[in-house]
Amino acid sequence: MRKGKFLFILHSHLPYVRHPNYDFFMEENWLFEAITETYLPLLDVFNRLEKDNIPFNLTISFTPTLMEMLTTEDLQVKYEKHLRAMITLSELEIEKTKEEDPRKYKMAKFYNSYLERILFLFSDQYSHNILKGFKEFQDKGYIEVVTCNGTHGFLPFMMNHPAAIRAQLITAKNTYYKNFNKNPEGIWLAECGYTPDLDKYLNEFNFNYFFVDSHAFWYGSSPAKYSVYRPIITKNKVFAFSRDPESSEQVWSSDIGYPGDSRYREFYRDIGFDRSLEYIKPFIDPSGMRINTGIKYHKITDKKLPLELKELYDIDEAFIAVSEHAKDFISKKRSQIKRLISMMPDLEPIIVAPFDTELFGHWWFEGPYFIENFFRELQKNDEIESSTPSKIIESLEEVQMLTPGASTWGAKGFNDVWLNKSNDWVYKHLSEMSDIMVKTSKYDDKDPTLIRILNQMAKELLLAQASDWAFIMTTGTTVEYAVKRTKEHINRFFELFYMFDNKIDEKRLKEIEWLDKIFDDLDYKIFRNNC
Amino acid sequence: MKLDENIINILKTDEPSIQELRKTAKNLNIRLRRSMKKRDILKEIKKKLLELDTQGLLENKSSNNKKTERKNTKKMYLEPKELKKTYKKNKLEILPVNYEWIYIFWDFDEKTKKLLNNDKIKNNVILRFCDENDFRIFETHINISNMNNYYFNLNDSNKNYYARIGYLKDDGIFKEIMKSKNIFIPSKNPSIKENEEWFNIKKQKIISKPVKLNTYIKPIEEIKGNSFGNYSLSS
Repeated sequence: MRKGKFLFILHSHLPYVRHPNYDFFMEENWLFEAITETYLPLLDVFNRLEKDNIPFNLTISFTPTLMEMLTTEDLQVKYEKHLRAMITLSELEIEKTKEEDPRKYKMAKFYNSYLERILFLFSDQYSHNILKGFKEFQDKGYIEVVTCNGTHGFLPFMMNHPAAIRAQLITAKNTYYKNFNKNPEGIWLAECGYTPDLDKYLNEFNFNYFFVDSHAFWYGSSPAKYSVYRPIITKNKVFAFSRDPESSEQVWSSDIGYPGDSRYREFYRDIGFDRSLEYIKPFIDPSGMRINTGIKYHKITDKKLPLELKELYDIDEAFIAVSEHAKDFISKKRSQIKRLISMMPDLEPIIVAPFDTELFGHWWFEGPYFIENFFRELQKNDEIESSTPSKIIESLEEVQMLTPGASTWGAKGFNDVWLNKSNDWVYKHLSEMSDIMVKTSKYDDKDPTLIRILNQMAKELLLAQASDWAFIMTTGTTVEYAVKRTKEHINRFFELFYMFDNKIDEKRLKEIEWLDKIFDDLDYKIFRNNC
Repeated sequence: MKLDENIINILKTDEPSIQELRKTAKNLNIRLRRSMKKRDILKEIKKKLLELDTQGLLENKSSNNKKTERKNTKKMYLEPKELKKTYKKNKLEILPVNYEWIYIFWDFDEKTKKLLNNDKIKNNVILRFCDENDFRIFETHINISNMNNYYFNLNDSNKNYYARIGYLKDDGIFKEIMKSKNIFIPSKNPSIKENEEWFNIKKQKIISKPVKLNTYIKPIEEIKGNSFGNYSLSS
């Protein structure tokens, strides 16, 4: 009997946010929240599934910026400090909620043991480097870890700067190798940004596969015969997998997706905003600005309700919802597979379901439990099994060849999010920096200080290219920070370029190297090939 | 507790001896097992220091004490310098926004700027977009005194385009000043062909087969609409 294959793909990314010159920096919390709520809970899910002999396959990407942050000692130290502070807060909450609603008291105890478990995983089990955990599960054959463009640079805007594309891909490969001790098989292209001819570069760096959005297969050089349910191969012999819109909508959609269920935890109601300032002050921004702590006592209740009217959350009720939703999702996948099998004689349908990793746990607190339940339910049926892109590729005999259409997984499906009136000012500078970098990379002397300057210039360019800043400027969340970060990297680049041509300021060079200490082994010569 | 300078110095060195670490651990009231290796002791010390720090029980001259921490976090995240408006080099670059809109930016060196600001020329500066076969050419006048970028609705998708900036001479001939590289304008429609290509992995061979559309799984795409009339829809 033919089975359908299900490819769970998780894309893990955070921009490089590291401010060693500050004891507390609010945006560093992005990383801390993701470790606490997503990455470690996911590893714990894998641990439990393995312990119970539940078969599971999943593909997860880690961007080089995230890999670098997860393995940077000062951020690891800051994270542990943050985590211990949260444990202290959860202990205070146990005392405080004794006098309040029993449901809050129950959750306070839950948070305390949850955070203690996270600390154990972080400190004892993975010795501060959680990538070790993902490497272990990859080495055991459960998961496939893929890489991503070096700083999540948006490659379709670099097509006139081949050296910039190569630099993004080389850092993608090298950072992955450093952490996983092998070359990556696949790459998640930042924002799923693809444009014809990009596969030429992917082939150059021996990437075997990448992912695109659905319409890349629909509007390609010719339509994909089996729509998004089989991979294709490009002219340059790289395999591409395309997103199944149906699965995405069922899980991700803000209107009909599972995370919107009334029983799930409300993300926006947090004791960082609810408790008195005097009480919560040691656990929020030292300036007194309130921030999320991760301790939340309310459920969604009804999406239309104002926050203050939300009802109290009960984790057991949420677990019932998780179980229902996992079963429902499997049932929907079974129906979909049946339908697809009837349309695909002799072939196995392949459903590719990519998501942002941070959806599971950070935005949707119960997400990791959903994944766990999904795999537990999956093993009970014989119509679908989970797989990975490499396993699928190994099983292929014949594959359709086409050029995927230019596309992204952003709003409207093209480049609008990263290029509009709010962020177009960036590209003139990135273009100039790329041109300068190509020229200066021809420097072939042995002066160690000049080499340091060029290496740092390359890092500043890569950091300025991060698609996150343009994205944030469009979405309007922390625009001021995104604008500042972009300008800082551009300014530092030109400051270094001035040093390269004129007088070297050793003290300032050291400071910039300390501030933007990413990709230790980066060699500026990666910008040499601009053909 | 006040942290002994020696502890800081020991932790700063690359290679503290196991004896130094054991002594440090003792000072911090850490219970060690005999079998513990240097790495494990160091981990325990760091853990203890973090604990003390979190509980606000740590003072030391080398790291920020509470006083400087308060000052530090209130320190302004400084406003970066304003960026250059021009790099004084000739540059013309196009970026695709989607299947109908493109963004174009340009810059001039001093010599070109002077030329284009010439009274005879400045009202005749032209921006042209040409498809890769030079079959379709779109053009518009641009005012270089107050423009250095623009969005254009090209409305011709699924092909390569490039741009040219120049001016019209007295005889109506277009004089090119600079030219951009090609960029690909995304497609908004499926491209139905007569044949489909398949790649046989074992034989490493491309096989061409006639397209039979009735065997295709056809995607069902979302369509936008409203009940207020047929004016332009915003999503």
